[in-house]
Amino acid sequence: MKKLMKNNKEYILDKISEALVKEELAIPLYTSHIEQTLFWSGFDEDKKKQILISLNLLTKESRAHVGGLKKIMAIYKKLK
Amino acid sequence: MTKRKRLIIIISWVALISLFFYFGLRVYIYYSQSYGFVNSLFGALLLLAESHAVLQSLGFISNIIRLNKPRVNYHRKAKLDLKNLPSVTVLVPGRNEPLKILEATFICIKSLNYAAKRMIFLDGSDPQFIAENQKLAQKYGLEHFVPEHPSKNKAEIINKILPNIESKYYCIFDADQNPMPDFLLETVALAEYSNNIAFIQTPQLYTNFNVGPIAKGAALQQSIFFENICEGKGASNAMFCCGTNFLMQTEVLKKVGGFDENSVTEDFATSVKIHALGYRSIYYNHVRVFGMAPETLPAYFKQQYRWSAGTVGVVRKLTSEVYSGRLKLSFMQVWEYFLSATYYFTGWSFFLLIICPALYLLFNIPSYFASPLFYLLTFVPYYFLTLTIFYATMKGRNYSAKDIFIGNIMSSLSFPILMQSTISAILNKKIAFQITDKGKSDIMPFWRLWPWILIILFNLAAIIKGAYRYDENHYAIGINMFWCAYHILLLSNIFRLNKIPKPNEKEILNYT
Repeated sequence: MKKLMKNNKEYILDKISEALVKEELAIPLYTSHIEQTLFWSGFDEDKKKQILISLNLLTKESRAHVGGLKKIMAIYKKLK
Repeated sequence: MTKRKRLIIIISWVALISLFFYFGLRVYIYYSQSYGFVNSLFGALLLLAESHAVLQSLGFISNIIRLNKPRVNYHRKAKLDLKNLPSVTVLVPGRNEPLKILEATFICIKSLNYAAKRMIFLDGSDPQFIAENQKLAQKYGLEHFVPEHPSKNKAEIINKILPNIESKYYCIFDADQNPMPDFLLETVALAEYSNNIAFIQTPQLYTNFNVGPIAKGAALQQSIFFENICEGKGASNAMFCCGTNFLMQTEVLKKVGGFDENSVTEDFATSVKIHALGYRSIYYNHVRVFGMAPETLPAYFKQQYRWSAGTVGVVRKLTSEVYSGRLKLSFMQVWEYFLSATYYFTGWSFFLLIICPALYLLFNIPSYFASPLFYLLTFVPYYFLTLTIFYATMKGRNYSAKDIFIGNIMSSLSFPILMQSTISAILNKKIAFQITDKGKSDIMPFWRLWPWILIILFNLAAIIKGAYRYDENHYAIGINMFWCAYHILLLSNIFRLNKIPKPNEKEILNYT
């Protein structure tokens, strides 16, 4: 049971660290690429502006997720 | 069918008829008049150049007709069991890549939404890069594979790892390609639909185009290829593997003996073999990966040289095999491969088309003459209808006329590189594998611009001579002077483009 718990802990920590990479590093990269592709989109300037605002909002939310994930990670690390 | 599609089909058919009409009469006029040897020779060369342009136009128009007709949807997907996904090995080949570029790719690979994936970085770098690369690969959970003996090209390093790949599928991302998280779920669902599907190719989209005009031009040129042309190839089951951003059945690659190591466009050569075995390929025209365009002229020309020499070299080798029946391909596959391979002779065709008006003005050769009425009734409809279809279809995909023109300028400027590379390929010269430089600021020294400068001066001299000869024949001299001026304008872009790119205001890879 203890071993199972330990494996679960490792598994969860692994998943949190994966999520951290995504939120902290991958999402800003995706956002940056998507922002650039608006050039090809054929959308008018207003629509582009709206999309950029939404993308920035998502990036900000991602940053908030990073804080949350780091806290959860710290809690799990303390668990025996 | 929408009104717009119907209109494009009608214009395409009219363009096709005008193309045959023009070319038929053009050939007739050439053969019906007698000239001296030199005149005949240049007349024949000009006809050859025009034949090449007509051939490529024919391929493009027939693609548009095929794509705008209602057709069977071949993008069917299997429903994936997320708890029991087919295994995939993600390969990232690289050589001496900047760490910053590698890191962005590793982040995206690790973030792919796919539980059954194994990730390997195939490191063909020089020894001084290996330790840092290994550290970075480990940081993001990628295995780090360094071949015992240095690999001379991408095909070789992939073939070396191939016996160790046991997954059902593998996919390849070049070191500067950033996949979006759903890449594997999408492509595996497509591949799982049938065992006969060998590979799924997705487009490349460059997002660093605001770095400078070269990156933008290369991105536009790439988009033209990945929109109509690849869709047409996909519809004919002749889409070839582009070497990155694709998913392939591992067993199929093993069946054809791995990637062709003798070609610098190993993907193209291997695709022919795969199609010859009766497998299907699918072109999935949905951008799922973002990449980087070459940013400087030397980098752009290096890429063009490699693609051209590799493709022409493959065709030289495979023509006899297809002809003798050792490689069995359908008529449409042979046609599409033929079009792709002959595309790179554009360099020669463009060269002949730009020197002939100047030769006429300077030396009165080739003196073949067609009346203005002939041009008005045959050449003008063919030329403008083809251009209309091209611009209309690209406009339908949100490209502006100005953007498309930038792409065309880049193609035109490549002519000396394409001429040199096709000669190398035909003479079977060994071409060293070189990756396209990323993020390097470099320009061509002035003396290396001699082919463009020479042609500009040649055209300039022709215009001056034309001005003196203008009274001989207003129409013939005038129209050739116009072409010379146009070519000077086109070629002078080489000076504008041969500049170090400005630092990007909002650098894509500056993610930290």
